[in-house]
Amino acid sequence: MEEKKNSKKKVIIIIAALVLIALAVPAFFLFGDGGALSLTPAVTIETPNKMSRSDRGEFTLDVTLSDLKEGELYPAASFSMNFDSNKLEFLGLEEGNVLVPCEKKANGAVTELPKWGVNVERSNEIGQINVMYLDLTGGRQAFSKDLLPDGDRVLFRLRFKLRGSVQSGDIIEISFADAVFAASDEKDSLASVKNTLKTHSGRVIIGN
Amino acid sequence: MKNTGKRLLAAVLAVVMLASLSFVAFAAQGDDDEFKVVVSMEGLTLGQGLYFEPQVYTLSEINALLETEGYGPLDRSEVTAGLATLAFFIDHNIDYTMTGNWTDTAYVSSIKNVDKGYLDIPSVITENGGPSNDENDGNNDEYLGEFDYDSMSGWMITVNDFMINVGCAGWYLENEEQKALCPSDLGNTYVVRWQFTLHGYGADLGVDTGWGMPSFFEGAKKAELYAAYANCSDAAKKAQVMPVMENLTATQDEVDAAVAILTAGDTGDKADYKTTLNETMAQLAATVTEPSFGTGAGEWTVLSLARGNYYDTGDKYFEDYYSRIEETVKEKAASVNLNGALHKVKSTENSRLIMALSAIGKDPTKVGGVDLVGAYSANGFSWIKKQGLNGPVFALIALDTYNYKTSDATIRQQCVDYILQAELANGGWALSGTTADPDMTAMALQALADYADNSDVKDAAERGFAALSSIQKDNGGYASWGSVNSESIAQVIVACTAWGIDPSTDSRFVKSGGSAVDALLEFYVPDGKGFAHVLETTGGYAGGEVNAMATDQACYALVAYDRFVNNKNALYDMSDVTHPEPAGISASISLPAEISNKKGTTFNAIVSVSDWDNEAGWKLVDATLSIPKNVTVTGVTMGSRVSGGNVMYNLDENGKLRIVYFDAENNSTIEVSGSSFPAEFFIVGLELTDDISVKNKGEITVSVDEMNLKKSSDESDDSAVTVVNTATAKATSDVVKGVSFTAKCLYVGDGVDLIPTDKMAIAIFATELENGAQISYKNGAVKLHYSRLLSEKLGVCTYVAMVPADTDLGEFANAANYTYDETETADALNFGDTNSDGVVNAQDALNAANAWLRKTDAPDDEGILRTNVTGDGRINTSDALGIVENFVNGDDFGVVAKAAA
Repeated sequence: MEEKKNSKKKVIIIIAALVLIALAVPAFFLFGDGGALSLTPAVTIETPNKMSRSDRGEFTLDVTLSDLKEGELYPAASFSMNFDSNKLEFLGLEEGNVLVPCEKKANGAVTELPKWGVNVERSNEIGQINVMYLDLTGGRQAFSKDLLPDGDRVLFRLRFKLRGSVQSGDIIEISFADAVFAASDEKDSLASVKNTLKTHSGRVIIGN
Repeated sequence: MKNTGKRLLAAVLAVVMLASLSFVAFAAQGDDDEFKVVVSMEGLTLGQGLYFEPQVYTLSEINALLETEGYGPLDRSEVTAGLATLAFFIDHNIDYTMTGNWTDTAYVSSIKNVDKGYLDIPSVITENGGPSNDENDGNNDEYLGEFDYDSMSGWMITVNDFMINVGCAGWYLENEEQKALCPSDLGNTYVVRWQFTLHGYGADLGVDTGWGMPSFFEGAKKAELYAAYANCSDAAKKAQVMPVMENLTATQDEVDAAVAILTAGDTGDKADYKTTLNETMAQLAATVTEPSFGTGAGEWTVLSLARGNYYDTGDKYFEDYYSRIEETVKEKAASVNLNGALHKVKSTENSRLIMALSAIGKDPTKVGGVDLVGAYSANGFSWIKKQGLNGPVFALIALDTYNYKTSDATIRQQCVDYILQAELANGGWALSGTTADPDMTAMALQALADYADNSDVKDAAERGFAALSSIQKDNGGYASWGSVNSESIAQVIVACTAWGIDPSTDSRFVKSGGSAVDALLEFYVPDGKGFAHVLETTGGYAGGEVNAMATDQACYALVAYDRFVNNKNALYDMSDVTHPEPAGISASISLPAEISNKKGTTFNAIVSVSDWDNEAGWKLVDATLSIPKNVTVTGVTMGSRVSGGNVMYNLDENGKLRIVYFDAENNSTIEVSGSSFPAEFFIVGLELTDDISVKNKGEITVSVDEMNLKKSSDESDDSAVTVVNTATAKATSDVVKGVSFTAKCLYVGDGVDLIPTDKMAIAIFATELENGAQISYKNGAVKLHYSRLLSEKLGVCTYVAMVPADTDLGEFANAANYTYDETETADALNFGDTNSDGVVNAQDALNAANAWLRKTDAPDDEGILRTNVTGDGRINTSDALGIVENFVNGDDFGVVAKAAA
């Protein structure tokens, strides 16, 4: 009798454990580091489709943002991204779809694409792309959650082309050295250095 | 009643007694103050002069000093040579090693930080078996003491010219028996001299101790001289006798003459050259109201008044002169019709005018459309030398006033060669004959002053100065063409100052009756406020009458002397004159203010450009730099804003560094990013290949001789090459021994935006200190932050700090104010990293902007240093933009450029 009781208990424990695992795994993928429902905002350099070393055209990598904090304004943002300038030539930025407010324009628009500062020549020289936006209006032209589009939130696109030194099988990583969405009150900023902004590298994969 | 009387009497007596005691005490104090001890420390045997000049102490001063270490109070009979020495050590913060103690058996074995690091051992020592400058046992630490440089070396002490034969603590200055041994009796004054004996246990000091070697020479009794020096407050007199003080083998006659100078009455007008100079300049300005082209009332007057700073370079006096000159030059050049020459055979006409125009900041290559400098190359060296030695001499002086370029690059060298070839067999120069003429010798030396790196020039100059010294009259004057005259003296003074020789104190130019400067001042005519050509009527010249040419020359000679005394550029080195920025691009160069003299010391020379045009399409940049001997090049890198090429370089055996920057593969256009200028172009890594002597203020100079920007190789196309102006691209570092500090103001708050007016940011440069070493200033009185960026850029360990605006920066140059620990790492500070998180990014730019918007609290001292990246006196949006430009473009922060400049 006592033996039967014990085996029943064991079964209950096993079932409970399985249920817990079943709940935890999706939760991890949803809310975990970089997960779809992660609570920590992240910037990601999206990996494009595999390329061939014979591809000589230009291609872009989207730099996307997962989210911003509700009710916060971020008047400045900057990103430092490392790349192998011997294998990739950086050609510049292309527009994304994340907007900032602006003075009302003739066409009635009150938002615009942020004017990112970048120096293409220097980026190729040092193998690091430094991109910065700074709003000097005291926050009137700051990033905010309100202006984030639904779906993909592309801050900007990095335009590259392959250099002749690329070999089949190369995996060229483009990684963040630093990223920040700066709030006036620094404790509300999102910064990779403080782990309040996650970063995810992108890769350019050269097929055979 | 009786008691009352007794009490009254007692009271009166008590008062009398007290009064008497007070009198006695006062009298005793007075006597004690007559008791004086003069203490000095010297290294004449090493050729290093006085380490500490004679200093006089009264008994009360000695007691006050000794009290700080728990000795005394002493009465005068208790003062020993040892305790007087201790007071002197305390007074001068001298670090020493000793055995025994100061009240018994004191023996001072070594003294810290006095060895100057070079040797100029008098020949009397080397001739008697002592070490030579090259062969010695050396001194391998910071202390100078026994067995350094030689096995028979160490510190010895004389009291009133007697080499004491007991420990200094056992020599009682007022002990009658000991006093009787002293050759010099100076009454209540006792002269204690600490002297470093190098070889022979005092024999090299001119003393026979009886137990060392026999004296190498008969030493003069100098105690009276030292006492007179210590009690003299006239700096000019002290400077005058210093050569005697520093001369190990000075004769008794020389010493007595020096004593006479120090103890003589006021020298009055004779010593007051400054008043004479000011009066002369005022008189010139009043009498030569409209200077014009010519030797009289012309260029020499303009040069005197400009280099003497009587008028500013932009003054109407000079502007009007220039207007007149433009017309004259147009006419003369047209009339002579010889490629810009103002005279068919006299190139000195061009040279004289170039010198005057350089002095007032005018460009002599464009005077009424005439290129006065170009005339040298266009007409060739044959035109320059047509009038004899004067031609090359003045052409060289004129060209070097502002480092003018010549299209014929050999012109300078031809002038130098010509002058060297004209040297007389026994040294010196003359227009004719075989005897050195003072004027010609002095003028040749003036011309060669910029070429001292050339050993042939240096040797010829030494012979030239020796010749000038040998023909100097007893009163310090000179004679030329048979008459003693002021102009000859004037030229000698200009030559001396051009070579860094003090014509009023250098022993070569001080004779028994006075120095060259004294002699010149003899020609001053107070009533006429000018100078006479001769003092006695001769050759048609009235003695003692003001003469225009004599006044011009005497005036600029006194200007040269005044500039020398005040450490300004030499008379003819006019790189300190502000010239209008020439159209186009100019180069500048910076070096650390100080570097260590040790072999292996590394530092950087930074060459910057004043402007750049990315649209110009320059494909290649080449440059030639002059690198001093004992320095090699470890690398050349490009400024972070420069792109489009690859750098190559070579340093040849003549110290010429040639750099070329271009992209051979793609022939790319060379660009400089950003908009702020000057921008760093080349960074030249340098390293000392040998220890450098720090004698006579050792220094090294690096200059950019040439820099060209080229679009193509088509030399027929004028626009293919842009010549960068390198006239002022010359920088000098002082070479120092041991850890040394200099400080520089970066900015002072202007009180407008967040930086109060009472705050000043400074950079402190430390030689011979490990990068990042922890240092403390006055026990932490000021917080110092290590700047890795500045240290790497300059190649010298650099710190920054915020201090009160009225701080004396000289205090920060005093090594005694610092302690340092090279095993510990200093607190570091990165410009632009406003929040100290280790990265410079958008947060920092926003913080700077928010600070200006007053959205955040005013930054503290460290916050100001981090945030004010532009290096102006305020924190505002320019700093935010400065951070953006640095982040995106790699532009240097303005504050960094200020520290490096």
